Amino acid sequence: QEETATEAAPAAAVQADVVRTIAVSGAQRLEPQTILSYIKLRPGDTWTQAAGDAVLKDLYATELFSNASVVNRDGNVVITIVENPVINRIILEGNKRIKNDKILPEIRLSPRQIFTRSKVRADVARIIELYKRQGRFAATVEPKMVQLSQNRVDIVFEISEGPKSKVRQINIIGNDAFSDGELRGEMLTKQARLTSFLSSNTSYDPDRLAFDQQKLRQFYLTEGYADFRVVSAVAELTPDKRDFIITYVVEEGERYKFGEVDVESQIRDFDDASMTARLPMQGGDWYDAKQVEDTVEQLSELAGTFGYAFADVAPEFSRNQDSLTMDVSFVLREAPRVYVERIDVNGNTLTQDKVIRREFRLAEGDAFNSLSVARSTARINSLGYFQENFEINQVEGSAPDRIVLEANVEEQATGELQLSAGFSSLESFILAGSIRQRNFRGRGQTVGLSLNYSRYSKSAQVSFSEPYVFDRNISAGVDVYRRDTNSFNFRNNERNTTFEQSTTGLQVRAGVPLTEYVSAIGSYTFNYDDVSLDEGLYFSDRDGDGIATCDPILASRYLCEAIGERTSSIVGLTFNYDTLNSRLRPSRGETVSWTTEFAGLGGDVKYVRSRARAAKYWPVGAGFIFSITGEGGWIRSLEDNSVAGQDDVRLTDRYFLGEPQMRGFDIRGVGPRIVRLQYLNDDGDDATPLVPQTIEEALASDQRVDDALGGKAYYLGRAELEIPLGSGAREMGLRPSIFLDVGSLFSVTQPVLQDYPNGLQATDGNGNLLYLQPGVDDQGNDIIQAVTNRFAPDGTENERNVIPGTFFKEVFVGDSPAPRISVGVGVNWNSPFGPFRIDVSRVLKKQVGDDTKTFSFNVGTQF
Amino acid sequence: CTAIREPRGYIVDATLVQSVQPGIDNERSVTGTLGRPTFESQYGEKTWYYVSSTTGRKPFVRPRIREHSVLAVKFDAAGNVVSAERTGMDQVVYLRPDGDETPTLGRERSFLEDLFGNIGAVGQPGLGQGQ
Amino acid sequence: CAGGDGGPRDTAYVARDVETLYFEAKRRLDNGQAEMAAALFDEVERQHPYSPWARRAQLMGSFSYYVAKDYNKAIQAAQRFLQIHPGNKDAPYAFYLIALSYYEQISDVQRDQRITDQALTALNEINRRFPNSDYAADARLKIDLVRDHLAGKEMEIGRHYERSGKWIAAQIRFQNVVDTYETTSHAPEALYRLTETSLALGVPAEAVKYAAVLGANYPGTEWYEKAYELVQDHAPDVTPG
Repeated sequence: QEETATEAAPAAAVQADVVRTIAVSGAQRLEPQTILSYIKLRPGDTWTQAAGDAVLKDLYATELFSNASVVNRDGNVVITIVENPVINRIILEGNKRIKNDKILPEIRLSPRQIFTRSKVRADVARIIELYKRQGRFAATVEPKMVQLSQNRVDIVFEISEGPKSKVRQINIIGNDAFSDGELRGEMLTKQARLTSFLSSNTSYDPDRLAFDQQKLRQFYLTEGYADFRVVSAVAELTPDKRDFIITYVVEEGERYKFGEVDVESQIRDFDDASMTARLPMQGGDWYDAKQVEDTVEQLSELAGTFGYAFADVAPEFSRNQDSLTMDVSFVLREAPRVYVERIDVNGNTLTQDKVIRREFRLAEGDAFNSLSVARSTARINSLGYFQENFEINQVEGSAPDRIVLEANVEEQATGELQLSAGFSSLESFILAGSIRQRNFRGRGQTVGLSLNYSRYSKSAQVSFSEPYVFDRNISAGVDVYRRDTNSFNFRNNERNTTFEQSTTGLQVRAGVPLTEYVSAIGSYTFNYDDVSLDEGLYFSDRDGDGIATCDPILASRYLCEAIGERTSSIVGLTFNYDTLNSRLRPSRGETVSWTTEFAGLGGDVKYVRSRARAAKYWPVGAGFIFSITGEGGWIRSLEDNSVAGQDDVRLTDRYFLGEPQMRGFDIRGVGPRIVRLQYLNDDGDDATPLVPQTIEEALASDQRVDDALGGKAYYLGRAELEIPLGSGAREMGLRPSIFLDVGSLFSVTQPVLQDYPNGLQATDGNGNLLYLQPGVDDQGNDIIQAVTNRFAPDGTENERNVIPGTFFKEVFVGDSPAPRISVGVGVNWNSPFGPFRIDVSRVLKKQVGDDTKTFSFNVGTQF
Repeated sequence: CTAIREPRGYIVDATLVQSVQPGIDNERSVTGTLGRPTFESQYGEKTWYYVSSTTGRKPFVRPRIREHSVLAVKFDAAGNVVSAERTGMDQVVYLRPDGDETPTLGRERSFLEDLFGNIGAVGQPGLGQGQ
Repeated sequence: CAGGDGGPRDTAYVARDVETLYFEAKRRLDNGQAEMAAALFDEVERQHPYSPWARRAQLMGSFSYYVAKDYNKAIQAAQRFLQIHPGNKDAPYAFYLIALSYYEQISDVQRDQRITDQALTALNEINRRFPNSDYAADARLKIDLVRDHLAGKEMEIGRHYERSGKWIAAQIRFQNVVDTYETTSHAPEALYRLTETSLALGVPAEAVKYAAVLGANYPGTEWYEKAYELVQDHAPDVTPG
């Protein structure tokens, strides 16, 4: 009985401490019951000091209160709190190097949020991190609070940026196998020199320092120094406290060779012997860690192709000091064959699910195969609708032998508004615009309307293509177009149009895949061509029959032959072989396409034309991409017009070569052409015969007349090396490249050349020559009349009535398969208003008569 | 011209498949040797199907199954193998899927929205990401 | 000095007392200028965070953004309200606004269904937190519609696999519909499709079973008639295993 009483007594004493009510005071914005919901104390609990502390701890944990206290007046607990103020505005001061729009997104605090000390501290750290990344380690940030009415506060971040500390010198001690320069080449951090102002790697950055040590170690491992160790890496401030000097002390150790090398596979499908034979390294070669790494990757890739997605390949090393050899055995651990459980497509807000899903080379329920996954990635990349570095990621399935493939796409602008302006030495300004939507209505179809206007060609084209007609593997496309192109030449210093060709036509295409990489495309094209000459300039009534006809003197014979209207109906067949990893920006793989067209199924034109193009891309390491492209074509007419000097293939069907296929040359700048050499009176004495200009003089003069004739065969080769720039430039999307173009256009029948050393004499309506005879008109003043008799009535010989400007001699140049060569530098730049290309090129070898052009650029916008 | 042949489904390992014997094996032992089935029956007796086939894709026509083999492993209530039969190409029926569809809700993108739909919202996967 | 956080210019930082600001916003909302109303409600909350109006303004702001179809801002405003007043009597309405904002943006089955998933979680949230509120009743109805929509996407993918001759993948997808979306309007079609895929994969016994289940549960549907025909044509003598 006794102890229960005592037990009861303290209970009674404690009685006063049972919490009867809980009240909140000082709450302005938050309601009392919200605050109560944060703490665990409830009326009826026993009051202890620990419970009080727990309340305070909970309240502060919510970070909503700047001050809180709890007091228990015998049973009713009163919580007095002071709420954290609300943020009104955030102001940045003193940030010159990094602008507000870079800092503000980094800051977590935002107006109307509740001010908390920890969030401010976190934001200060974030701003300092921004400056660290820029190499300003001395930057400091002071947060200041400005109290406003109604418990609101403005936050001002006072930033003092401090100087940018650079790495002035990197010293390396203890390296005798490799020179300091070689080792510095391996590191990311570069010494600050005048030449390296663009690269951002010259700033001092401790984590990059650690990364450099790792790169050093990697480099030595690839050279066989398995025991290599970085003893110490110290960065000291220079005396003037502005930059740093970094000193590495290294210990190279011995150089090792490969000892025993083999493969131990616990997976049923692989037998060790054949795998060991295929290893890239044998016993006795210098040890190379990178080779081991690559082999591990190749082995797991190989396992992947047999369906073992999660096969784990581990190299086991055993080092023997005395013989300085390293034994390596690649162990393939037992792993279940993995099957695809599900394929998910995410992020496609516009593109339809099937447009992406149909590009997958494997389906749910199939065995996993890394080659098929790589192929699927390449095909989805080639669609060109999504982000550049798209990868299919593999996620563990619901069981160890199940995998989920996820295609997380980020859609890019697939509409292109292309406005390009070109400047050429010969023919000043070109303006072209086209609108194209490559992912029309998210169905993978391409719809294009292109309107090109340039002083050299005007064209309008509507095109539509669907890669999977009725969900079958048939691609189909149709283009309807109207193209007006006019060729031109210069005569007495102004550009005038020679012939105008207007083509109206349509093309229908249908393609099917023959194998995974080869597809065949059949096409039918119907063109209606109308070639005409500027009548005012080139037509005259030579034979006096009242009808102005094309005058071969003014327009030269081959132009007159080109005039006329004709229809051509062409059937074509193309074979494509394509293993590129992405059609838009390939860095690996090759593509070959060969097209043959037969014109003659009706229509007035009959010829066979064939064209082939091949390209191969290699990533040659460190971001450099080397590519070789080859192209060639020939055309043979199937009819013989047996007219001397006129080629069987019409001028408008022949190939032309120049800009833009071959850089360094102008539009139609390469290949056979006719040049008119003017006869000049060099020695000022009228008696001596006139002397024709040389070809160079003719081409250089601003009165130059040269008409490209085109050719029946051409070839073109290009080698291009794309150079990756430092990260700074890459952010701006700069992709420079150096290129070498080689090519030629040749084989055309030489036209009949005109030669008038002493000018061409005019003739009257019915062909007799005209002379100038002085005479008197009825008003009695002297005039010169055009008469047909050679001698004047008084016996003197009349002067020949020569047509002005016809003292010329036509020369046929440039028809030779000898290669024209040009080299140059070009920059691709994804400028804010679209893809931008500048080419500056120099011609190394050309034929007489070719037109060169050193500079061209075009710019396009993407919407 | 040739058809593009694509392997689909389970990769058959002849020796392993023969080793499944009714009366001896149970669910665990079958999973050990053959792995989990391509799919299981949802109604009636529990049956595991290991389906492997090769489809041929000829130009202009829909892909068709060229080679086909199914291993059907039936289990009794206790999970022991009752039967394991193999059927081949003879059972395969070539049919065209029916054209009808059950309608779904969801805002059908208007024609114009499709055309210029992704100008504004480009690159924001999953609109409406909450704070 | 102008309001720093980029509010629309015309509601510049004019410190007006809270009642006029609130009722100005209410008037704008009533005569259809929802966007303007939302901006004004934000101003109320910003200038007078501690007045009782601030809480009402936060909710009304979210509603105005919802009416103006600016779903992102509606969701953010509602979430901000819940951050400070989780226990408030209007909390269910805030949750409901969030769910509706996602629900309105559900795109057709061809596209990404991430928003549909978000709508489903938000609707389930209401159902779990306030089971007997009238919002929950509407939420339950919408949950069925959303699940039906997700089933529609699975069916779309299944049909795509059928058309491109990937019968195994189609079978797996349709089985997934039968397993997880039994109660939706797509179940009968899924059972019919499974009859098709089973026949195409050379397991007629399964086809007969699926047709039988379809007949038992959905006897009147045209899907059952089609299934019955298929089984008669291709597997007349097969007895279900």
